[in-house]
Amino acid sequence: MTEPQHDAARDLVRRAHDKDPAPARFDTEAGLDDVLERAGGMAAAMTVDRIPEGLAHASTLWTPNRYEGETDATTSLVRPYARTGGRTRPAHDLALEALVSTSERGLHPDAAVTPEDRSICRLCAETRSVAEVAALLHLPLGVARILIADLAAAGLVVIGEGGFTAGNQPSADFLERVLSGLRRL
Amino acid sequence: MTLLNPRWPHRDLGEGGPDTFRAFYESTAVQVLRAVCRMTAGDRPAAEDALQDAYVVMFLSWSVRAGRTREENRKYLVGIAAHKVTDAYRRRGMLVELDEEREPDAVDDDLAAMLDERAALAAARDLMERQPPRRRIVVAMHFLEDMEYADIARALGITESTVRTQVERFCKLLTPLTDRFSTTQGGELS
Repeated sequence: MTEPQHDAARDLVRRAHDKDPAPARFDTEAGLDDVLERAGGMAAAMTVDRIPEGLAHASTLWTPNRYEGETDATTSLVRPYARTGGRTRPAHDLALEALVSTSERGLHPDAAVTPEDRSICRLCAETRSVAEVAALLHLPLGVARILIADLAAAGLVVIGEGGFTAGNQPSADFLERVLSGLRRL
Repeated sequence: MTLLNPRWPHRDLGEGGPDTFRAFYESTAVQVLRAVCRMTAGDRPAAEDALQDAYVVMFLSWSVRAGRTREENRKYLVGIAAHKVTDAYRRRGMLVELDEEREPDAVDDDLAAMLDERAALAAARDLMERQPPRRRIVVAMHFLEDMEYADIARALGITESTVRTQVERFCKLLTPLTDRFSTTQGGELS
């Protein structure tokens, strides 16, 4: 390819690009905000990587190269920790089976600020377990625990004990119900 | 709108001065987004995602990059964005081949003879869109962002000769249009 051919192609491509009748418009203020949001998620992910003693726990939060909401066809890069401000432990330990129900205050549409919190409040209008919330919202369990604990602290959801355990053992009542459920299958 | 994000309490963007991240973002985002949209063949969400992630990388390394010229930083940013676009295509794996085996059709010579300038420019955009992803990315980096073959090769992790081949193939397909419509080669408009 000669240099004139190359320059001619450059000229044409640039003009074609510049004269595009539908050029991309972009809100730079919103874009800057989004950059910071993503940067927060990335920094939080890096923090988790640096906590060796927390690795066992972090493994429920951190799936390398796969992030919440990411599918093969999308490239959403909001890390799970972006939703928890980088925290990997809830303020209060929540059992997997602990039941969550939205309080009266939480039912108010403006009560929760973030989309995740709103989703949890909506979902738990009908009582659900922590594990169910995580599964239904496609959130890692650790992240769901943190978000639910936050909502509980803010009084937007109420945590009820499932009554599934007696000490460290499953309660007899719980086992009975599992057994009868199995028989019905 | 405040740009002090609660998740970044210790790092603000700097409100004034030409060397702040904010100034860099505001002066480059639209132009780079438009180039990245060419790389993604008009897939705006994919382009925005790659663009924003590239700026995040820039933001996190701003203390090191702030001393460079805006032009250098823009090219560096385009390199990261292009890499991310490539990654996104790779993740789709089975759906899209980065380098399709079948060569896209060139602009028909007889058709090119009948086009006016506006239609010719539209045909050039269409031709670019029809290129395999990698070639589209290379062409956008080279022609729209003025990046050298070596810089493109480094950013995409391919050899310089691959970059050259991709540009040459594209130029060849474009020839029926450049013969008539380039303002640098004694075409109709010169």
